Amino acid sequence: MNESNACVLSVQNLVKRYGSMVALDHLSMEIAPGEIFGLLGPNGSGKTTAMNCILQLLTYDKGSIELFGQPMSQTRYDLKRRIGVVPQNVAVFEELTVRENIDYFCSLYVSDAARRKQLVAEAVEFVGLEEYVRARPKKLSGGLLRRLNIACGIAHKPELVFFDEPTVAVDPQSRASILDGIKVMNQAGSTVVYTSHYMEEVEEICTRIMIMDKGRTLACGTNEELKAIVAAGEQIVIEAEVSEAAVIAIGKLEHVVRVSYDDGRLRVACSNGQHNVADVLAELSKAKIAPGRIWAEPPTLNDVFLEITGRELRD
Amino acid sequence: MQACKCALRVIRGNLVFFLVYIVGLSFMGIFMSQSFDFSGTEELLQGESVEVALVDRDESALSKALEEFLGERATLVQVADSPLAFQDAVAKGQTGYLLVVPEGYEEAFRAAALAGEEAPQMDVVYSYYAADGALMDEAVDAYLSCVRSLIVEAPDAPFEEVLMRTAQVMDVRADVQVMQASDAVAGPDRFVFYLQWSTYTLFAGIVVCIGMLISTMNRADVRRRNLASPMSYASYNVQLALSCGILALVSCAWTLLLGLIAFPDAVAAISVEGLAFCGLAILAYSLMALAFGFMLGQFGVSALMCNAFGNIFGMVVSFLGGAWVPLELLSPEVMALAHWLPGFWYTDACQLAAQMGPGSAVGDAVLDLGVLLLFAVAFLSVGFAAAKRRLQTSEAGGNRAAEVSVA
Repeated sequence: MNESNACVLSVQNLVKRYGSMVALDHLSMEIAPGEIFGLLGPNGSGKTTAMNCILQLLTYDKGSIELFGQPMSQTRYDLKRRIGVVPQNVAVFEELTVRENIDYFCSLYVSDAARRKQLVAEAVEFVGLEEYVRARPKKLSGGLLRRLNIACGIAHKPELVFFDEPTVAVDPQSRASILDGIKVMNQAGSTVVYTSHYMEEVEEICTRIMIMDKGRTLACGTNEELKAIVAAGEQIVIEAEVSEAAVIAIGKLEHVVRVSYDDGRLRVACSNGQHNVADVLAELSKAKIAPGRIWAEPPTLNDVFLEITGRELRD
Repeated sequence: MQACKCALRVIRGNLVFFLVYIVGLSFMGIFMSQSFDFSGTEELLQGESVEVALVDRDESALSKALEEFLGERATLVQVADSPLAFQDAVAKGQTGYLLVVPEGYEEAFRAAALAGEEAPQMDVVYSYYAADGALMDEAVDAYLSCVRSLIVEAPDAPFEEVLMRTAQVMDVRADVQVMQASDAVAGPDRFVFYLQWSTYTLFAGIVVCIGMLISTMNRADVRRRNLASPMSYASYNVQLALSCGILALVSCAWTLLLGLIAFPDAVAAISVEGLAFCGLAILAYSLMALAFGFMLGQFGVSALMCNAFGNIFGMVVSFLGGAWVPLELLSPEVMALAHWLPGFWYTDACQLAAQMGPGSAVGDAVLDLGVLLLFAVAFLSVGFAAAKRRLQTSEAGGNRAAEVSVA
């Protein structure tokens, strides 16, 4: 068995064009069983296009997609049977009850009624909708609707689940519940592909992360591996009234990568130096500036994106 | 069959549309049909009795003969001989025609006739609310004209004989018979009217229900979820079409059965072949409405718009099908336009079926059904083209969606 066959999902040199515009530019990824793989990128970076190509909802110009070691195509219903999809928007029928919705989408994968009954009950319990099984979706709150959306995608216990920004417009409590649920699913054996533009979520749950922009892979690795890419080791934040001359002077210090001053906060991104805080404070002292609160933050995925593209992830 | 079951549940979730359009409007068709008088035309030709008054100041043979003449044709009422009583009687509707025979009228009338002069006038009062008084005056003029002619013809004949001959002449009436036109239907009228009314019921009901169903089932996110599943696109569409077919069949069966139950006498007047063709006509019309609803749904029309389209087009199709006003009363241009809409062919098929007997030629009725099915095929073709196009649109989450997203 070669390396590709050992992967749950293997995408090689995927190219998707719309006329002269390249939506996916030789995108490649390999996802091993048991991973929670994050696709991180700003809106319009190609995350959903990539997912749609993998799911065969879109045709593509070049490249290959393999699921469970076998080539994926529109008519590979045997492969489709092993995957689950949780779309970004809530995709359920308003006319059906919670139980009927889950049962319908589960029935597309599982024909045995008795087995399906059990799976639906487990899915209802998994997302905590026991009290609402007879309710219609319009009676549910936004958070409960998201849970129903997830239940419809995972009831058949797929080996590979695609979550497309499942926490958009969700309250913090429901978001935490959704993320916990994904972790539980993963622990139960499902491989997860999770797309989001929320870096905190991706950092929290993903075992590996691919950062995308303009249809290309910018970086791929674990959280720690990605952060190691950036030159900035830490970011020092100081609350003080700082002059422009002082900002320029601090920017010229040996280990300072970037410096900015905004809203009374001086932010200094430093490389891995030994005395970064002392050096910055000394410079402030020279300029006769008394610092207020001082603290240091580790680098984030946003710093990684900023380092690579020169712009913020949320720009 | 999961998609089909799901579609039927969606219909169940919107049952109010079926109840309002198919059930409610069918009953309205029953009430409408029962409210019209489809009884034989002979009764319609019975003239209404007019109330007339004759004030006789002459007390002559002519005035008595006139009174007798009027008594045979109308109901005589007594009115006092005063101008105020005359006005009262006419104004209050006690009489529709009041004739005053002045004193010496007979003598003056005979003299005028023999001299070849104009006949003397009588005072006449009749109501302007209705034409019955004027018509009665025409009858009196005809009577006097006849008397005058007979006087001129036999100046020496006794006047009693003249009056007797006049009575004989005036008693001769044209023998009126009501003829049944070859293309008229008398017995099954109520049932045929009900079927014609159903052009609106079925069109509006089926279009609204199916348009709503297709647009719900084809909602972009749900559709993408379906397409990502192991269910094939063809299987999904076949199941969707099956659920639409079930809805159309139920609507068609309900409408037909209700008509059969509500109008047993009218149905009994139709041959078995005719009833079979009525059933085929209503089925073909329902399929046409199904195809139209399918087409609307594939265009992504909302439930509100489906309601608007179903009602407005339903009314147009129904009106130009002759369901509300006989097409013969409409202008030739409107008649020509009606041929381009399915209601005309359905109505024609129903009328032909109602007249059908054992061994009747069925060519024209088959042609009507064929045209209805052609309408269905045309609407379905447009619907399938729209479906294919929608796959590529942003709403359907197809290529266009990704294009917009990436851009």
